[in-house]
Amino acid sequence: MVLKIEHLVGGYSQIPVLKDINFEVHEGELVGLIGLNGAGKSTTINHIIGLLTPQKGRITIDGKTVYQDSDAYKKQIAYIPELPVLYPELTLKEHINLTIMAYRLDAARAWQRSTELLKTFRLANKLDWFPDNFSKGMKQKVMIVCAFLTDAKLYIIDEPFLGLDPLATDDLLKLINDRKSHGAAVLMSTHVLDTAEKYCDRFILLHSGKIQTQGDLASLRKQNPTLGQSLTDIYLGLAREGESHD
Amino acid sequence: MTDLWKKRQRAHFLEMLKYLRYVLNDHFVIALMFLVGGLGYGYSNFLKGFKTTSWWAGPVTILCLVVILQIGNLATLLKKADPVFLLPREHDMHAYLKQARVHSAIFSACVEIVGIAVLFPFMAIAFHLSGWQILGFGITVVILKFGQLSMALNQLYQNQVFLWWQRLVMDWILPILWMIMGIYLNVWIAIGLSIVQSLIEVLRENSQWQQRSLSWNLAVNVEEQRMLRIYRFFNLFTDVPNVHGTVHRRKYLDRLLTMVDRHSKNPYVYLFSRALMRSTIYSGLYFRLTILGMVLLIFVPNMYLSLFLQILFIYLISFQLLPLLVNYNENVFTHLYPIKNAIKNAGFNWLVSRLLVGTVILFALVVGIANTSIVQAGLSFVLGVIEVWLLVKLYFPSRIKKMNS
Repeated sequence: MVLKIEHLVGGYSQIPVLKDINFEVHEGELVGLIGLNGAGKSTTINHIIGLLTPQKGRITIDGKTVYQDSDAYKKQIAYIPELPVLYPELTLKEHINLTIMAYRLDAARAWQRSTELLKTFRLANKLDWFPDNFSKGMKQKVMIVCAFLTDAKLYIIDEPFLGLDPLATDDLLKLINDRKSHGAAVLMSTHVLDTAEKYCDRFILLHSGKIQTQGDLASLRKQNPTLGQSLTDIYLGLAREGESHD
Repeated sequence: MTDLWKKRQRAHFLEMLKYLRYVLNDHFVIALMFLVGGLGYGYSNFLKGFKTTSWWAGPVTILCLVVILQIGNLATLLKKADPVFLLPREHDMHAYLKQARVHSAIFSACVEIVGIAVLFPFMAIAFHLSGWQILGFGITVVILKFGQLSMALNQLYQNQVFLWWQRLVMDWILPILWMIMGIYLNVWIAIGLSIVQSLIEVLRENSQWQQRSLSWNLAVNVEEQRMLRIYRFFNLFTDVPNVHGTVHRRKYLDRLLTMVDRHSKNPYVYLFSRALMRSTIYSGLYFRLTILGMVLLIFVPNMYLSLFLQILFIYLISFQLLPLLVNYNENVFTHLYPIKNAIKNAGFNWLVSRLLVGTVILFALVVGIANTSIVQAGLSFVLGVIEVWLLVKLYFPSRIKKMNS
């Protein structure tokens, strides 16, 4: 098991956004984190990557919290944010170099990997440019390259598909599959339910800071027999149900 | 609309106050007191030795007066969203902008009066002017400023672009003429002529705006640029959101960066060195202060004053480079890297101490050449290196702690 969240209560202020969140992401597994705007997806992610401190509960990667060994914890994570975050003063090549230095990767191997990734995402001829001036989609590709050149065990991917062209979306999914087969765990938040249904092994449905339900598609269907067959149908039904409860 | 202006003005005032608190921190106030004291002392010495027959007194005074006139801009406090939300009230915007003009005029006048006050003793000695007559020049400047602001307001409306030479004539040449007449003939002439010039500007604006529509985008851009200049100044002292300057590739510095990379494997040295060399904020700050310091050192013959200036400039540079340390705090990845904060601080110190020693060497060279004294150059170098060492070892840690909390 890689990521384990137990009884997480947290948020940005004293008033908790997340109320008792429990889930796990195992090796070789892609888990979809799904919920409405403001359900707590990004807050959950910010807790996992160590930006926020839990008010209660604990988050472990391979049994260790960020407080036990911050460096060892952070070394396991590769993160792709929803909105690309870049250094305005660094070229694409320097972004890769910095990532290599920050994660203390073997430069030759990491660059070999990067070259392949850059070719896949058609960035190979832009090494000397400032990515800060790229379009949203291309910036997103830079984020993907920097995340996938590390040896992370846990990939945290926040809504990766918006702004990506169809070819890049397909390539990203292939990359995720490849890393899964090498034993990595992936947690991905998304609104693109068709893609999630096709690729995710399990789903966690968040609503108002609580887990409404979780499991693979078959178990979701079993739990909610009246709502429909596809993830979209089940999710829409649950979301409307949740809204009327509030 | 006047309510809107009042609200905006209040918010603006509070914002400026907030940032001024950072600017006027204890260290800087002390440095400033020394600087003002030193300059005041130099000024009074200069006045004592001043001969009233000097031919250049007139031109210098006139130039100073006209430079003082350029202080202050039209502050409209317009926001980016205004063209969307206030478009239906465009006609009423003129009342708002007129308020902005009055406010800008008052603010500029306050600063200009201070400038005139500084010039006061010199004018009194050089031209045997009375206090009232010098006040007359102050009034001339304030009146001319109102005309200038009216011209700036007029320009915010469409189809009214003043060409560069028109601005040159109105802002510089005519005022210089009035000041010449004021100094060599009578101050009343300067006051009278400046009233005529400003009245023309006010009436022109007043009669034209109704037939034209407001250039929203231009007005917002002008205001944004003005605010950016203010923020950039504050950014020297504290972290101001949304001020990032511009980034230039500066390929010719790549060789220097390769050298840095060879000597340090610290990821933050890699990051900071690039920010320092490519972002206009940091590179500009370092070079501006270093060059200004060098120029001052050429002209300061007194050894103690020169050493003091040197120490002050090294301190100012170091102090203003400090925000670089937190420059990337908003970038989520700097929190995700498996790197301890101590390594980041060490990288920052490594880089900044080398930059400061570079300045020390340049200062020592200038001092040595200007005074043709190897001893003084050596003294300045040793003192500078000690200062850098003290700054990095004692001053930075406490500031860094403050900034990180």
